[in-house]
Amino acid sequence: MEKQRVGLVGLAQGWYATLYSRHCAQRQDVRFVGICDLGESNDYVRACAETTADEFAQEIGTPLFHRFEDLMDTKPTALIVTNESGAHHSIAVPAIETGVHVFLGKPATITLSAAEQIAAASTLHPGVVVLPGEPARYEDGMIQAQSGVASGVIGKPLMTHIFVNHPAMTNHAWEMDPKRGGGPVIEFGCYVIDLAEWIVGSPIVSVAAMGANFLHPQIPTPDNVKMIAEHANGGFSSLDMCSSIHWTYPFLGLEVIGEKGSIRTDYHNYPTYIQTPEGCQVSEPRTSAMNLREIEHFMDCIQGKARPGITIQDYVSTMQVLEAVQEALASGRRVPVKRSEHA
Amino acid sequence: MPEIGIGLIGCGEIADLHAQALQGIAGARIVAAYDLQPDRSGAFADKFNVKSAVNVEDLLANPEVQAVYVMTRHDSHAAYVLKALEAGKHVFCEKPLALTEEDARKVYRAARGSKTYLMVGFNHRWGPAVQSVRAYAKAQNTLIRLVQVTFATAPFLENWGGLPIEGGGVFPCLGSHALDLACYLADDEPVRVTALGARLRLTGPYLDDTGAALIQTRSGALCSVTFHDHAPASYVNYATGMTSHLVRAEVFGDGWAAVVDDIQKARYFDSRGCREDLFPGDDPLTILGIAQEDAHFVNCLLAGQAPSPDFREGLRAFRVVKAALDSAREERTLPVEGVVE
Repeated sequence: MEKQRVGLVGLAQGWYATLYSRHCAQRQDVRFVGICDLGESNDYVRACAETTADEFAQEIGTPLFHRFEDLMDTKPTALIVTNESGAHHSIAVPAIETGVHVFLGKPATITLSAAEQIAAASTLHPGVVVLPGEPARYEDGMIQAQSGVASGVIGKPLMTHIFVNHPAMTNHAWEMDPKRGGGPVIEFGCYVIDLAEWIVGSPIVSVAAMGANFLHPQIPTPDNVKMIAEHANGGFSSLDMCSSIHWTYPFLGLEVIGEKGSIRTDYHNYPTYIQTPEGCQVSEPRTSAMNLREIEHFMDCIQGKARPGITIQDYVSTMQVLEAVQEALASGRRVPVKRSEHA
Repeated sequence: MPEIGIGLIGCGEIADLHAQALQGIAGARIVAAYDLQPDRSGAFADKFNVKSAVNVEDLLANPEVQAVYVMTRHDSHAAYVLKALEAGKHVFCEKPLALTEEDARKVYRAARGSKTYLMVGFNHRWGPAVQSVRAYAKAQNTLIRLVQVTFATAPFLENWGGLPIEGGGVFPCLGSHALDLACYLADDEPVRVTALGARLRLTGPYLDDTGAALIQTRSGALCSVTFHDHAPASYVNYATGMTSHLVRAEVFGDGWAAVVDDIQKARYFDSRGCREDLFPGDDPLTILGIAQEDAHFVNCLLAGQAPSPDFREGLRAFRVVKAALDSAREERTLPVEGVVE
């Protein structure tokens, strides 16, 4: 069996970087060819990943490089890109152009322009797998909701509510700098926007938003955003991004009301209810290992066993909506979503 | 025992619920009822064994009537409230207080200058789970940061409620409940609103059947509300099997969250973990808060105290709905005019 030659670029997204790498390194079909810390200091890496690059490379049993070019000299077939989110594209684009498959830690980019650059490279290299990280797509309740809507059992979705709760990232300065990490609006807003468009099955055409910063004065952007959105099919979504909850509270909540029925999942690890004229189906409570599933999916994709369940074009669409959200926050107006060729 | 004699104006579905509730309240006695449709007024009078008034003047002239319930189509609320106040009666007016700023101001001025009391009916404030969540929130003694209200009913707007003149569409019919409840749970004044509205099922001459709005309050809390009448027949209260009205409300403060789930369940999340309170029972008058709001109204009158929500909150609620409607049309965030004494 020919092994995939996997490398890790960046430890800024430390939780993702260590989780994905540890999982991949255990696979029999993976040879971990190296870790590149992009020359960041031990203090930087420790703040982000609770280890140093050297310690982590030793743990994985792979060489440590400080320059991206040196890692590329090892001829990787696939890269896990978990450097600062605002610089993902600076790694992803040359990797794609070299024919290397790329998995991007969420958020794949923090600007539409960067997403479009990756999409353009992907279009020119259709054989290269580009998988944007979006753990919520691998959560059973969200999967059941999406497949339920797509199956038509609840009819046309008319009103959707999605709630995402994730504490703001404050381990390192880059996470709190919107120009480097996107801030909570991008970091977690991409969850709700992607889920809304994916589950409703219809792109968002306009959005209004209100935001506030309740808990993080060190972050110069809202740590909470509420959005109301209109989809191309006419339905509405009410979307909540909350990053100021510091006590135990569910990660995800979702309800879709359609013409004939409804789908509701009572947050992560709770049952999913699908109500139709035929009755109510209640799923088993679930525990979805979202992050491991998505890196497994990446491996399946690069081995030709699956097609990406989420594409960079999907992420471009998410960023188009998030650009509209940011304009709506600034202007107080309902903002139409501008679409481009890459979505 | 002292009694409050009550006259009912409007004998439709909501009047039937209030009459049932009032029959169970000590000190409340329904004296007479009036409806524009004499046959409906007669049937209602027979059912509840009260006098059928021939017109509003007849009802208001009855010296046994001390308080009047106004439960007519929305466009006539203000006129009936003004007549009742002028006749020296206490008034319970179903939401919305009015459909126009001019009417809302007239009612506000009349009520403010009256020696009698005016209460506005926002029954969902009175649901047991809502009251429990509100009490929990107040006990935390922190700022409230976020509120979310989901409000869905079975289709009903293909009727007078959905028409421009009589009902005003989904914003005054359902949005008034949802927007008021968000402000009530936020325990704060709304200052800005942005909204979307659409007709997803209905066609002309009916107005919007679907609404969504965001509110920012004076202290900076953010509220989101959705309201529509698309709840399909299968969309029932997950706990009781009853058709849902208020489906969910979430309130987040500094260090805690409280959730109204399916009307009859409240959940609390804080540093101690999660706990849940159930409010079982199958009496719709209690589940919907109607019995509690009627008891509050009657008990306040018996005690000589002002009931709540009063005319100020009624005007505020009208202005939130109006600002939301204007925002949906103008596609921008609008300020909510405050109520200045």
